[in-house]
Amino acid sequence: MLRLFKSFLGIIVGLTLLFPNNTLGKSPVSDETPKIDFTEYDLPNGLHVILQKDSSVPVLSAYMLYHVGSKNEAPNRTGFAHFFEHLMFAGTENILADEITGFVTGVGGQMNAVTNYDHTGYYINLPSNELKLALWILADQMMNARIDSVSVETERRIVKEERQTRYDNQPYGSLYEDIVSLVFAGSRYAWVPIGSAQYVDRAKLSEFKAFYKTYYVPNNATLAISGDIDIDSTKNAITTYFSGIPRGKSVPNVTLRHPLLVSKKPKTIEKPTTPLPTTVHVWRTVPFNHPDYYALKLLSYVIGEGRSSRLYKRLIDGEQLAAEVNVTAFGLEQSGFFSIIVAGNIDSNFETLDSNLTAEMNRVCSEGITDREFKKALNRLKTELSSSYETVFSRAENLATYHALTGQTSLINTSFERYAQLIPDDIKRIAKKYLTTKKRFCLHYPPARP
Amino acid sequence: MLQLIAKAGKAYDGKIPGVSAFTAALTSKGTAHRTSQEFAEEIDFIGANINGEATEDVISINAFGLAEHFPKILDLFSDAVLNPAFSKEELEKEKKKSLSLLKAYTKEPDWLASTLLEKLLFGTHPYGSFLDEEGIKSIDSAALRDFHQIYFHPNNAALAVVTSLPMTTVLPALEASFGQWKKTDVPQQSLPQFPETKGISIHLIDRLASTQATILVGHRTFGFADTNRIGFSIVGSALGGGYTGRLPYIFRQIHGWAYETGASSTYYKDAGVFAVKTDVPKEITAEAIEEIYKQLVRIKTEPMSKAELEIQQKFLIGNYLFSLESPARIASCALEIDCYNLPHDYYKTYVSLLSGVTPAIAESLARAYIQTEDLHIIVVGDAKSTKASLEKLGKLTVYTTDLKQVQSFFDSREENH
Repeated sequence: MLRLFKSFLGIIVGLTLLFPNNTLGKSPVSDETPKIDFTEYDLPNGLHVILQKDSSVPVLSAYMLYHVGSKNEAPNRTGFAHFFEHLMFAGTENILADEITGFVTGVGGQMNAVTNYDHTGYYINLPSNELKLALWILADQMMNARIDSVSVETERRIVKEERQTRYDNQPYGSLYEDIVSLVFAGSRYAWVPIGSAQYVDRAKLSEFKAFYKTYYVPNNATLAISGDIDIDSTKNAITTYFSGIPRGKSVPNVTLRHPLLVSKKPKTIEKPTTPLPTTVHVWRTVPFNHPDYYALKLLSYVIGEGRSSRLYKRLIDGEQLAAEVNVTAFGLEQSGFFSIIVAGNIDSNFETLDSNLTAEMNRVCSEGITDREFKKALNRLKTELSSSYETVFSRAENLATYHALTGQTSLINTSFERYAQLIPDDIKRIAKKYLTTKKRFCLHYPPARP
Repeated sequence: MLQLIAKAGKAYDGKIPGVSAFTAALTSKGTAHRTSQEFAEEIDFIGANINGEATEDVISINAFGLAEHFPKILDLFSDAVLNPAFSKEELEKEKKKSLSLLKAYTKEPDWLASTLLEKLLFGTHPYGSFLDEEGIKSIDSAALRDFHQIYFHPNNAALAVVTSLPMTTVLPALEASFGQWKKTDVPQQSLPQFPETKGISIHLIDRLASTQATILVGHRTFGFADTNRIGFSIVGSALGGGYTGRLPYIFRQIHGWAYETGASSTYYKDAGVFAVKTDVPKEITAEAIEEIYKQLVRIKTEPMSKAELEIQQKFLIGNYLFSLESPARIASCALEIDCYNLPHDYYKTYVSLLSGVTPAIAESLARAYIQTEDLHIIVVGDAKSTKASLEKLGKLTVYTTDLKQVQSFFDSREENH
């Protein structure tokens, strides 16, 4: 017993010294989450800059977000924005591809990028004394990316292999692709960012060059830096590296139009990789900062988060019909969906899974949720928000994304209030508005024949 | 964040494969004071999580939640550790779920490859066992109770707490919850030897659904506490780390064969596994394997330059630095020191030990610990497209996705001579 306490006593002391400014774990007042202090401004060329100082660990994350994603693609060029993202690592007029990775790795850094439906982010995480390396690379990528046929042909192969590895060769790899093609049919959200191999094959060098000129301009970008930085010297360095990049033409807005939804019979998708009978119920809903989104998010916790959630209790614990349940309130910039994915046990059938699910959703629409369930969901959300911003990367990414997609960077701190202002009746009202059987889409994944 | 580890992982399963896994899973599913549903309701209500899992060497019970709920979290956490009920009803539910999850895993190329590799490397040692349908069905709650009784004692456990609550709050609370936990002797384990790997063998898991070939090439190394582990990580990184390692560079930049290729090391108490992994088009499976083999030979015969070594050193130091942002990682580091009997200042000296590795040291580590004579090469792919080219490389064994060898009439005839 002595040994048990002796060994962790030393650890506790060490840890509190390591995190003198740690906002995580500070006993928050009941209806608050830890606040992130930041400063933001625009350069004359339109680049929006957000700086967040936190010296807990001597590292920083520099996140350059371009407000372009798969929704800016044409239907016969799906995967284009993601393909382009790969090309950005092929080097610039001043820095070879090998040098980009070599320099970043050589100072102990990490870098990568991600293409979403609405935006594409490039991040470089480094020890904080190497800020200028990150700025140099990100600036040169914005102004002088070298896009040539050699890199296009190399990446064409890689992007297709990526689709195979991450999606086609995996169980349930097509799931999100199937969902969006249903709920967003007829709009530019109807495909996933990785796109389709047949269109990846058609993308031309001239198209990439035009895309770069249109979208990769400072007035279409947000740069967020979080970590162990000095605000003033960081501002100076940003001016040095970015102010010489000319403003681009205004970027065309894309407003998605969604056709009226028609309720259909369940769509069956047979894949040789599917292990268990899996049913998906999904509804089109609202963007992630729409007033109704917050109630949908809380509802997703009530019905699917934790072993005391409604669907876990009924489908996994009670009836033992299912092995896993996943409920997601998914929000994009211009729309969203609410999905329930149930992986049934080996011997479950779709009729039983669907009728149980339908019964639970009907109950929510007719009876709403209890006060306790509401408070529980709010508490779960509070824990998640409080621990979502532990790393410099998560802060930089979220600051940039909130700004680019909503214009309100402060939502990173105030979003919890929007949840806390709701009452249980709001959940019932929103469920009735969006999640009725009439408006539902359904997908069935039968288990692959052995 | 609270994390308790008990030295009661898979290595301690003895005659009941999976007993550690089910014991861990059921700690949060009912105690002497609460049913499973009551426990779930209490922990969910405060937006916190408690779960148990078994790895090769330990069972770990983890709790995470907001500091304002510390007393409640600790109450539930200690109840799960000290008083799990292991009810028959909850066990049956867990078994049913596990059978479904097993079905799901057997569809995943990565799981298939790594499970077979460990089976081959560790043989009858529990590190190599995997829970199959028969094993799941035969677990009973008496076995879980016995297991808990034998291994869950304070002298066989360690607890890490990561929080900014003051010690004046935390320590007395821990004393109140765990102070009465009695020290009890724990039996010694006697474990079988690891099998010898002789020569290079090729194993194909026939997965009809495969659109690519998943390749995993691996061998055993040393245990977690081995003093060569830090230096060897540079060898591993130079061969297969990030974007700059030799293998990812060749496979992606030069050939355009694969999206992700890498080498990694996994360490348990008594052994480690070094493995190279990639996913490539089926047509070039054999060619990719030959290239991997070529690079394993080359890291031993063409030592790193100072520049190449320094890049990898910096990369690993950077990774370590970033890992300190995560409270979960900090808890693990603390518990590793206890679990593997590392020097108390291990993480304080980690960076300087890494920095002290020279090209000569890296070369000697590569020569000593990278295997090229005795290797397992595992491919998960569809046999129709890949079998013929693999047979040209060497002796091939084919498996189903249940990891059972496919017996052919002619193979068994040959063996009997």
